[in-house]
Order: sequence, then structure tokens, then C-alpha cells
Amino acid sequence: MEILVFGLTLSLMYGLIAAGFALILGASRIFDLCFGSYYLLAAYSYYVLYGLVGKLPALFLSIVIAAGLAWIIHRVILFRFREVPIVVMVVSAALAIGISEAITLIFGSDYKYVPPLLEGSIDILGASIANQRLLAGIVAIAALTLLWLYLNKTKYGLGIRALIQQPEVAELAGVRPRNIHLTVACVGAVLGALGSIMVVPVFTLTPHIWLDAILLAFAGVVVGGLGSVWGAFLAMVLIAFSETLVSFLIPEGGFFRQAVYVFIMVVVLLVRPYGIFGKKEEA
Amino acid sequence: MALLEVISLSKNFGGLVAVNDVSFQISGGEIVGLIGPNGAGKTTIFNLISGLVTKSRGTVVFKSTDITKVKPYQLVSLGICRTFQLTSSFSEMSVLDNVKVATVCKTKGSESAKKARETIGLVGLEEYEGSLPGELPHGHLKRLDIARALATSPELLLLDEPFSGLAISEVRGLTEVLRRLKGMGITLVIIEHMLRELMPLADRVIVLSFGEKLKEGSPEEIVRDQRVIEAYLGKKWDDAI
Amino acid sequence: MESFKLTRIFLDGRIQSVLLLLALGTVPFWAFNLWFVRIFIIANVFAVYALSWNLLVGYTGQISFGHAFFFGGGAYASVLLNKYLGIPAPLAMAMSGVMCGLAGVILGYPCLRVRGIYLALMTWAFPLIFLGFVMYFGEVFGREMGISGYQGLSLSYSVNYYVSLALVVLTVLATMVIVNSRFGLIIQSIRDNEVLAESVGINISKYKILFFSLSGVIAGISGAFYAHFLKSITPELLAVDMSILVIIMVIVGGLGSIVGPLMGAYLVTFLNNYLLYIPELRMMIYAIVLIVTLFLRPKGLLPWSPKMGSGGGAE
Repeated sequence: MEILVFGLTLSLMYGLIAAGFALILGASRIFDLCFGSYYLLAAYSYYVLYGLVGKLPALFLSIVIAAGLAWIIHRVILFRFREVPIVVMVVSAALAIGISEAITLIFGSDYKYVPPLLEGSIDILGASIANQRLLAGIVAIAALTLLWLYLNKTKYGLGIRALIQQPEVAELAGVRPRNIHLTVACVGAVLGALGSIMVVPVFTLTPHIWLDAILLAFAGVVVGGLGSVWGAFLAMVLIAFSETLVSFLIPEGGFFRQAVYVFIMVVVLLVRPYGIFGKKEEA
Repeated sequence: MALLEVISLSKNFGGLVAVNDVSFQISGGEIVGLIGPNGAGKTTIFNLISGLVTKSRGTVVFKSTDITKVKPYQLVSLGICRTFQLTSSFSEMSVLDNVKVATVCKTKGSESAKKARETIGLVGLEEYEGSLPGELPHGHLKRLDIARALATSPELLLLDEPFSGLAISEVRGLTEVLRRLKGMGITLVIIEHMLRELMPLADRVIVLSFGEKLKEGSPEEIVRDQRVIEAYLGKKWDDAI
Repeated sequence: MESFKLTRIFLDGRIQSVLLLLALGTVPFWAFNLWFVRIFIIANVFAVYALSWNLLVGYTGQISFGHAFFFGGGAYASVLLNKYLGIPAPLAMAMSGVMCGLAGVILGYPCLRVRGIYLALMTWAFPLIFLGFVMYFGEVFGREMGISGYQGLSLSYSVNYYVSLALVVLTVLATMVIVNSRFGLIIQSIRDNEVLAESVGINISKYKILFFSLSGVIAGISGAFYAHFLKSITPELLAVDMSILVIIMVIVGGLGSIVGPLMGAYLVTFLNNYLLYIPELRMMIYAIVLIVTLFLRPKGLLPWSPKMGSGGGAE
């Protein structure tokens, strides 16, 4: 029972994060490794701010800060090189590592404690689960619902979906690529930031969590498929569940997690290189 | 003994039947035309023979060897080379290099440059040896395609619409080149729409329509055949005559 | 037109190359101290590493986002051969090169099936997998601590330097030979127009794997030498940083040329050492250098972009 609840909430959280990354990748075709940096910055901002302005405002502000970073990075750098994937990858990777370094410089690399938004735990059908996890799951559902509404019910969302499916045609139809790219970058960052702040109280805060976020997002995208935001989400649910199972059944846990991720990615890459829900893309 | 034998070749793309049970033989040294209205499956047949598209059914035999399962790049070492409907080049390489690349399969390293130059001379592109494909007019690019195919030392050439887009002055030049190739002992199968250019050249003509072989015969027979005219022009036209 | 003339002199290169060779050839003699020689040695190692990446990406047009696999893998392989099997360092280096080549062949096959971003993803996964092995077989590989206490190549810095220089020269010569040969023509045709190359009889898979593997061998040997020079290695050699660093070196120096990666490697190595005072922001500074380069001189920092043989940049 515990497995079910743990797995569910965890996978919802991870799904949210992966969805954010998949959105940026799918709509802008930009492999933004700085996604991990938005994740990171949001967490550390919250860490700094929650004592100053209270938890909820801190949440808000941190998300805004992360989105702001995304906006800057995309506007100034990444959008310009979007035609050359390798450059985008290298630059964003280098920046991401650099940002992590900067954070280490300011905060040190020790584990920081971030109090959860909701303290305490609750009993669900015999399984004891931290309130924070529950909240995280609920927030994830809410956020993803909003995302769905946004993508499917608004004009802007239509533009984004068009860009995901057929970029050239979308441009011809009057969709302004730069605006959409920036919006998508921010929305993706918001998702990641939200996920970050929800998850971080449950796990720990270090300057290296950006790697975890990226690995997660990677796995979601590889398994779920390049063009699909929901595919990434579903893939993430799958993976997170497996991870929960693994960590419950095998006491080693810890680093094994990474191995499981990589293993799944490798298998998928070999069997269905374009992901379970992905379409064959002309790179 | 046939050089190339196509036996019951068929290809379906899902529900669409592109090629249906087509069989024919090509003998060494002849020029065979493959004609038919658009969508008849001519290029698909080339794709099937050259292995770019997997066959749904059927066999292809070249010089008594079953080449049905052969991979596209292996064809050249066997002696078959094809060109494409749309001209295609190595855009960052000179004309000479374009042709040189094609020689690597069957020509020794030291002979490559010489063979490439010879071939370029054969199609009349000597002055453009050092130029980039991007600088050449369409007609010259078509000649480059042929030069490249020639450089692979083929026994059988599959040419896909070599005359398309050529100016009238260039057509004669190309016809000369193709005749010369026949003189060198190379067998040609040519897909063409420009029947006025093809008919005087071809020894035999195969007509395809809707993926099936409609008729096979000498150019004179084909041109006068009722069904062929119908296939190209449609029944109404025939009624009008 | 003044700068044009200067460019011509550079291009013709004779005097320049000779001077350069002279300077490089005598480093142990005019260097200020041993530390300076050390920097040159490391620069040479990275030069070879960068050339290997350049060979793959600049000439073949395939992406490798995980070249650290070969670099770190070659390092670990050589060290393990030396430490546990007692094989002398030079032989171990050569053997690890061969092993990297084999690994390149094996890993090359799945790479054939994917393109673009997916290829990048796949290559990104390779060092991760190896890192997994390293951590899993902790006793053998020494986990985070890495391995030390194995044989170096030689105690003398000078000898080490000349070996490293020899490696660079060899790699440069090899690259030049390959690029100007039939091989180079074939690989360029594959990069230019794959379908057409196939239609003139070229076995694309074979050549792609060959180049991937060759690139791996070179990277592996550079990693192995590095290991024996440092006398201690850690899993950092397999980290993302290592993969990204070499990409930065080549892009900043100039993809597709021979001198480019060399310059990039030297630049980064010297930056690395003079940044010792701000170690925590190293990558940030590289990132900035990279970004600035991309904005101002996207083809690389070279004042000219020579094309060696039929080589040309992928971008």
C-alpha cells in the first residue's frame, strides 16, 4: 500500500518536472540543459526566502526567479543558436555547470534543510505518508491540469501545440517563434521550479540536484518520446514507479537509482530509439 | 541469357498497391525504356531493384545471382548503378571529387583520378572539373549524375528521367552520350516521360500503368498501341479521336 | 588589406610552423619551471583528445556528447592493466587504445540507428553507463577516490613532455593523412549526402563505425597517457565536464581544422591553470568564453580558417 501511495505521489512530481523539460524540448526544439539550473535556482531561492517572506510568497517569488533566469538565458543565448543542437547542448551544459559552481560558491556544497510546506504526516489506508508528499502530488495534478487547459484552450496554447507538431508550417501561419519560444521556456521553467520546491523538502538540497533533475527529465523524454509532453509525463510515472519499487525491494537504494534510470534509457534507446510515444523526427 | 531478371515484383505501402506482379527481362547491351503515366510505379521499381525499398514479393536476379536481399550499397560492386529523378550532388565537393568518390568501389586508388577525368570527359564537363555543383546549371547537373554513375564502372545503368529539365540543345548531347555508353557495352534501363527523346534511343520499351506491366515491345509497337494511348491520355481523348 | 597579407603569411605557414615547432620542441629547456612544463604536457594531452573529437565531429559530422567515455575509459583501462596485470605502462597504453577501439565498434552500432539529438543523447549515456560500472565494482575501480599507486611512464618531466608532444604530432599527421586520402573523400561524401554516397557503392555503416572507433582509440590513448602522467585518476575523467570540455575546446578553437582543436586545447589548459585562483567558477568561465566566441567568431578563434585537404567544418 505504501508503495502505491509513495509511487504515485513521487511519479506525479517527477512527471511534472519531466513535462516541463519536454515542453521546452518539444516546442522550441531546444535541448536546454539549464533546465536543471532553473530547478536549482528555484530551490535555493526558496531556501533563502522562506524565512524572510513566508512560505507561500517565497514559493511564488522563487518560481518567478527561475522563470526569469530561463527567460534571460533563452532570450540572450539559446534562441540565437536554436538551429544548431550541438551548440545549444554544449552552451547550456557549460552554463548549467557554471551556475552550479556559482551556487556552491555562495552556499557551500553541504546538505541544506528545507522545511516542507506542510508539516507532519497523514495516514491513508494504513500507509503513513508525509503531508508534503501528498501536497506535492496534488499540486502536480493541479499544475498539469492547468497546463492542459493552457495548451488546449487558449490561443497561445494553440500556437505552442502547432509549433510542437509542425514548426515550419506554424511559422508560416503567423505564429511568432521567438515569443512562443520564450513563453515556452518560462512555462517549462515554472513547471520545473514548482516541482523543485515541492520535492526538495522531501529529499535534500545540494548544488548538485540539477543533475538529478536533468537525468529525470532525460529519462522522461527518451522513454516518452521527443515530441510529446504527455508522453514524457507518462513515461516518468512509469519510471518513478519502478524506482519506488526498486528502492523498496532492494535496500541498497542510493546510487542504484541512477543505474536504473540509465538502464531504462539504454534499453529504450536500443529498442525504440524514438521513445514510446515519439514520432520519427528528421533532426 | 538475361542480364537482369525481374520476377513477380510487388510492393504494397499499407493498402496502396504500388507495384503489382511485374516481371521483365533485360538483356545485355540493350537500351530499354520504362514508361508510363505518373504514379505508375516506375521509380518504385527502380527503388525495389536497388534495395532502397523492401519488396513485398518477388525476386530480382542479376547475372544469375539472386539480388533480392542485397543492400543498396552492394549493388555497385555487382555492377549496377542508378540515378535519381531529382539531381543530387555532393554539394561541398568539386565536380572532380564528386566523380572520384564514385570510383572508390571498383577502381584502384592510383587510377581514380584518371578514371574520374575520363568519365567527366565522356559527358563533356571537362571545363567544370573544379567547380562546385552549386555553380552548375541544371543540365550540367544531370550530366554530373550520369558521370558519377558511370564512374562506378557499371554493367547496368538505371537512369531515372535523365532528360527531364534539359534544354533542346542539351538533349542531343545527352542522347549522344547514351549511345556511346551502349557502344561501350553498358546496358541501360531508362525511365522517361519525354517519349520523343526516348523512342529513337530505345531498343525495347516496357509500359507500366497503375503498378502493372501493360505492354512490352518495340518503340513502334508501343506508340501505336491502343491501351498505351488510353493509359497516358485517358479514354475520353481516344473517343474524341 | 593589411590583415589579408598577414593571413597569407600564416596560411603559407612555413616560417610560422617552423618557429612553432622549434618553440614547442624545446619547451623543457626554456620553461620557467617544472610546473610550466607540466602545463604543456597536459595541454598536449588535451590537444590529442580534442583532435580525436574533431576527427569524429568535424569530418564525419556525427555528434559525440560523451567522449569522456573514451578518455576516462582509456585511462581506467590502462591503469587497471598496469596495476592488476603488471603490464608495463607503454604497452598498457597501447592495449587500452585497442580496447577503446573495440568499444567504439560495439557502441557504434546502436549509434547508427539514431540521428541528431537522439545520437547526442545516446553518446551522452555511454560515460554514464561506464561510470555506473566504476561505482558498482567499487573495489576494483576505487569508487570516488579513484586509483593511485600504479606505474607512471617515466620520472622525468622532459621525457613525459616529449612523449606527449610525439602523441600530438602523430595525431596531427594521422589526421592529415586520413583527411587527404581516399578515406577522407569517402567520409566527406557521407557527411555531405548519405543517400547519394550509398548509391555509389559506399558502405556507410562500415565507415561511420570505423571513424567512431578510430576517434575512440585516439581519445583512449590520450586518456591513458594522462593517467600515467598524473599517477592517480578519479571518476572525474568520466564526468560530463570532461565531455563538455573537449567540445568547448574544439568549438572555440575552430571545428574542422587541425590547428583549431590544438589552439582550443592549449587555450583551455592555460586558462585552467591560471584560473587556479578561482577554481570554483572554472566552468562558468569556460561557458562565458564559449558564448563570447560563438557570438564574435563562430568559426573559432583562429584568425584564419585553413582547410586541410577535403576537411571542412560541420557547421
